[in-house]
Amino acid sequence: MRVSTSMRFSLAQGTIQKRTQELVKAQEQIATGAKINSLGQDPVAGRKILREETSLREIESRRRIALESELNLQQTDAVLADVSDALQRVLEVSIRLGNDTFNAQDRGIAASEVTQIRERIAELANTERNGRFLFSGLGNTSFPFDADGVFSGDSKQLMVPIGPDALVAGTIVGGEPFIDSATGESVFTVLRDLESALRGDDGAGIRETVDEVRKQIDQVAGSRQEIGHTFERLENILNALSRAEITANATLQQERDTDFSKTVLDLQESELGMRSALTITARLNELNLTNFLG
Amino acid sequence: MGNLLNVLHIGQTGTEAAQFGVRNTGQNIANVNTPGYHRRVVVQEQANISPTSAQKLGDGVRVVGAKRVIDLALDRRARDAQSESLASQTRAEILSRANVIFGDVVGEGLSPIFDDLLASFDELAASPQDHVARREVLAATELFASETRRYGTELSEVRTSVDAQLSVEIDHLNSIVEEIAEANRLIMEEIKPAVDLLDRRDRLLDELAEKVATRVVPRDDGSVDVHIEESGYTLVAGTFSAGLELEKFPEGMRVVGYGFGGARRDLTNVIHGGKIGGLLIARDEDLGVLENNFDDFTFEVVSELNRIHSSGYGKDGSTGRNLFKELVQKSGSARLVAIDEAMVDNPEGVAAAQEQVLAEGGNGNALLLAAFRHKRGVNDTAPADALQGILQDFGDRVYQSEVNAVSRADAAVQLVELQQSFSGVSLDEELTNLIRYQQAYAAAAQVMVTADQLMQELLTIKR
Repeated sequence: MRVSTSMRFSLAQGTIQKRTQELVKAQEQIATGAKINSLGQDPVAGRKILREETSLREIESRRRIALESELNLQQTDAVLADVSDALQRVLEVSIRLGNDTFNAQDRGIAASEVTQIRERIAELANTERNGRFLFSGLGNTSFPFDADGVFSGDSKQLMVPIGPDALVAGTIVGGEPFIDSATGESVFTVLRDLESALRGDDGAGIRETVDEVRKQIDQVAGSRQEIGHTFERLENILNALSRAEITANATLQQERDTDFSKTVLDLQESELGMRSALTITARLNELNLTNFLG
Repeated sequence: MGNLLNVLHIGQTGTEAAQFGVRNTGQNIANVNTPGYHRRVVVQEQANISPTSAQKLGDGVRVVGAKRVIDLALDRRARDAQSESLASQTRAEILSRANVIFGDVVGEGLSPIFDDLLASFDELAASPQDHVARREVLAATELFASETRRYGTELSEVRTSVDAQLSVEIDHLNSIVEEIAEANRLIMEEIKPAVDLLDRRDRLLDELAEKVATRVVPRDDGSVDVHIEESGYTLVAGTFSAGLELEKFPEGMRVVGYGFGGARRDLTNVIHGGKIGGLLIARDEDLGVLENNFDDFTFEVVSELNRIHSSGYGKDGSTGRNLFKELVQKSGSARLVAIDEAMVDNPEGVAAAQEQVLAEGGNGNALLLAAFRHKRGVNDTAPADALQGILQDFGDRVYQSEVNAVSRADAAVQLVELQQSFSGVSLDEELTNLIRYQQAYAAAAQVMVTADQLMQELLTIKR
């Protein structure tokens, strides 16, 4: 084929241009640490990166919620532990003072102690965390228990999103640890009954409340057990989230991060190509009839 | 004596022919880098060969002229390939401009901002009583709306800039078309048109093909007719030309032609090739699809979230409130999306609860908002996936356009090289010719000197 002068130059230009592009690409990959910087460079890898990043953000959101629920439940459990201790003390008092060897004065002093315990439990039952009453149920309007221990909350609970179509309890059912689910009788009624029996020096009345107090202790224990189950479920969820995070991160790294050893090799290859192209162009310039004419 | 004078004449024609050859070589060398230049060769023949007189050897050499070395088919193929290559290149350039805005996978693109909006609903569902979570929802809504608006606006600005470019290219096309008609006139006037004039018209045809793909039909009178490929629309007929115009229509700027009859023809969808073809594809197919998809997505998200939000109750007991300002139609959604005015700085109004009695702490509606994350919509995809699908589709177009531009450019380079291998100037070849003509000149001059010396001899004899 006949070769015209413009062909020689355009070929040299084309080769140098192509090699320069390769060099710039390798340079960019090394400088940014990312294989691709825009979707246009590799739409399939770009989509994977977007998808994995979205997964990671969703995992992060789920984790925050799970951890927040854990904190909520931990505090609830701590409060219920206090309530349980207080009720144990009441149980002791009711068993001991049910014995008719105690006189009215002894029972009067004990009544004051029970009153104090009742007030303490009422305080605990109105515990608030992050603007939410732990035992008010879902509505959360005001203190769930008034001075007389009357419950004004609802028997619902906050369910929080933890996955597609998956909810987990963020709080326990409103009022549950303090109200007997079978009789609807609240711990405050039981304690008031005990107080008036003590004040009235009513031995039979005191002995009657023992079982009632036991039921309330069981009620609290039941709630704590439920919290334990939920906590376990949250731990499982957190573990699953960690595993999902590792997978997503691995995919992300594979698609996004520069493979330095490979890129450096590519860079060397492009550099060699560039050198050859430049050498050939320079030689071509020498091989020209004008250089040989006298 | 007569014969000697004839020898002198032969020498003279020899030097003249050599001179013409040097001039032609000079012209070729001078135009080695001129686009559209076809190398020329000297056409020369023996002068006055008269078969009747056997004694006559001839009257030297006669220069017929310089002829272009041209293969019309090769020229046409190179021109068409260039036209297609420019179309692909222009399309790729426009798309890479939009890719800067939409293709970001490193920085804060639209995808993470949308994820943050979805996460804010999760937080709301987890702590519906919390003022901070409510503020977070409003902030995320505001950011999503403003970023979507920014993307939508920038996208439509890219499209507007394409229209501005179209206008420039069409003006240029119109002046080229007029020049071709004028070149036709000059060529028709001359019985034997100068090669320069033909080269110039070919160059104009090349330039025209850089705007749109054309079909050139040569006529017997030396003129050419030029049509827009595959449309039958005539740009040049003989000495007449009919350019194109960019006109504003409700659906946007359209490329129209009035032809020779004066009837308007919308050519927007038939034009392909060249810069104008590339601009139209980028504008109507690539950016148009992206804009539509983006509008659809925005409209879906806004309508669905509004529907859920308005059915719930705010902490202040309010209900029936939209989260976003209501959008009337899909078209233009991305450019118009905004947070509902009543919701600005109104965290109490965020409808987390499903029942009025639970307005204070309920999260039933927040759970519905949070479930939007996994709601399967069009094509059975979740919203974040749908957004990424739109972005990927665009990424595909950017990628394809670049691959296309490279392969079209390679094809064009090959065809141009083929054309150049035939019609291009080779300096080495021309320098060889230069030596050849130099030697021919010297030899012909020597013939004249010899003839002169012989004549001197003859004159000496007489004395």
